[in-house]
Amino acid sequence: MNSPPTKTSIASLWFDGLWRQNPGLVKLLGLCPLLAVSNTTINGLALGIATLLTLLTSNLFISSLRHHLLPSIRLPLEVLIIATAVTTIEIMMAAWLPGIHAALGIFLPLIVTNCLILGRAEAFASRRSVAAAAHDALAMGCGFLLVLVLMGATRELIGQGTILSGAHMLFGVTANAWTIHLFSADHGLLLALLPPGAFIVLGLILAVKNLIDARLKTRSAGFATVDRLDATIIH
Amino acid sequence: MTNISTKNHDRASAQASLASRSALTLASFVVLALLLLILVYSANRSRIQASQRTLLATSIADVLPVESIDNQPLDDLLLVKHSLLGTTEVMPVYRAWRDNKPVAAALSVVAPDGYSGSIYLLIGISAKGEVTGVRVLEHRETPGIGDKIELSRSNWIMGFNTQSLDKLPASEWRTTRIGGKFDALTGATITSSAIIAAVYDALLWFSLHEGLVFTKAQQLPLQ
Repeated sequence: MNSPPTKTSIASLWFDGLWRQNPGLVKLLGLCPLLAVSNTTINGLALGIATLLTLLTSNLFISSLRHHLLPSIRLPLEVLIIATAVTTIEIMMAAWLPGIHAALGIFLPLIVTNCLILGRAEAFASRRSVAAAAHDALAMGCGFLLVLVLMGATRELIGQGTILSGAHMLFGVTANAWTIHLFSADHGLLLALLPPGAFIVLGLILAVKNLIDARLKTRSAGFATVDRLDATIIH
Repeated sequence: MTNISTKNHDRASAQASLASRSALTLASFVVLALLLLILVYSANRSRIQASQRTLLATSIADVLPVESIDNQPLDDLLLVKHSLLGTTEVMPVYRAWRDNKPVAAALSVVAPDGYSGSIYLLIGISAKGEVTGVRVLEHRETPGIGDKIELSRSNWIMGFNTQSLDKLPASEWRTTRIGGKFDALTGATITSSAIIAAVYDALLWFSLHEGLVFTKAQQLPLQ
């Protein structure tokens, strides 16, 4: 944690965010919203975007203020910045996207408590350049968003036989036509929409990711050991 | 001795100045954040209120016979408090008129005994005491089972239309399984019973207070 600032390539920041250190699949951060709001694709997408925006705002502010943040008040200031960013986003959503604001409910203000955001602020943005912090926020945010959307789409498809239902809440009335109906909701597996379904789907996605990682490892054994060392140091 | 005490003194004053600097920085950031939030909120307040109003207006129009009224019920409300409305809170009653004669009222009520907490309902009742429409405003019932109370998922909620206390005796305001008139949603007997009871209570409240509902002066909405 206290390693001195090092130069990290942008490509590796993105690889970390999207795959190697994916917040949803590897670090398992922010599981509460991940499990609760991923019941439809659109809900997942909306919460993913809100989280991404919060992460970007907080990383940018904290990185640009990093020389002025006294150690004793760094943490409270980070929390203050994150809470302000989330509240701003919540107000904007209530004004411009009331449907999705109602659908996300309490999970929108709860973004404040997503450890992913404070984690990136404290471990990354408070000691790196603004550009690196922005790339880190975008990469981690996209990684989280992709897992949310993947889980939302899977659960929605299995549970009610549709993809993109409720798209009008995010994209306006024209988006009503986007919904893909594969089968009637009566034939859906209800379990997928309920909380246990969220755990099962997340477990399956984790298993697939680990399988792919294991395949990659056997294919190029040398690189894999380096990767694993890397991961332990960061933890 | 003196040397050490000066050192201690220096360290103490350095700590004090660091503490006051920290406090000042923190305080100024709090003020900045507050100013920003006030700015954002006041810039969006009218839009947030407008979208909440639109949402409510749509629900009210769903439960009232809109084609036979000539006022805006959203702007003609009465604030009431009664245990039959399922809550100890003050609830709004929206009144609909035509040529200054009462047509119907939309009651905002709570079914406190849903399967997962309270179910918030809007119930339209005509001046004759017939249900003109029921819609669920907010609920946390089980997805796929209890959420069939939403019109977008099934038309079960339409089964209350045109019912009244005159047409159905109190004993029939329950599910068919226990000798009532209303089908329960499959697997959601508790949810169904909660709503049936809430609609019955609303009709009862209306029959007891009908005179009052259409004679009392309009009240301004609580902000």
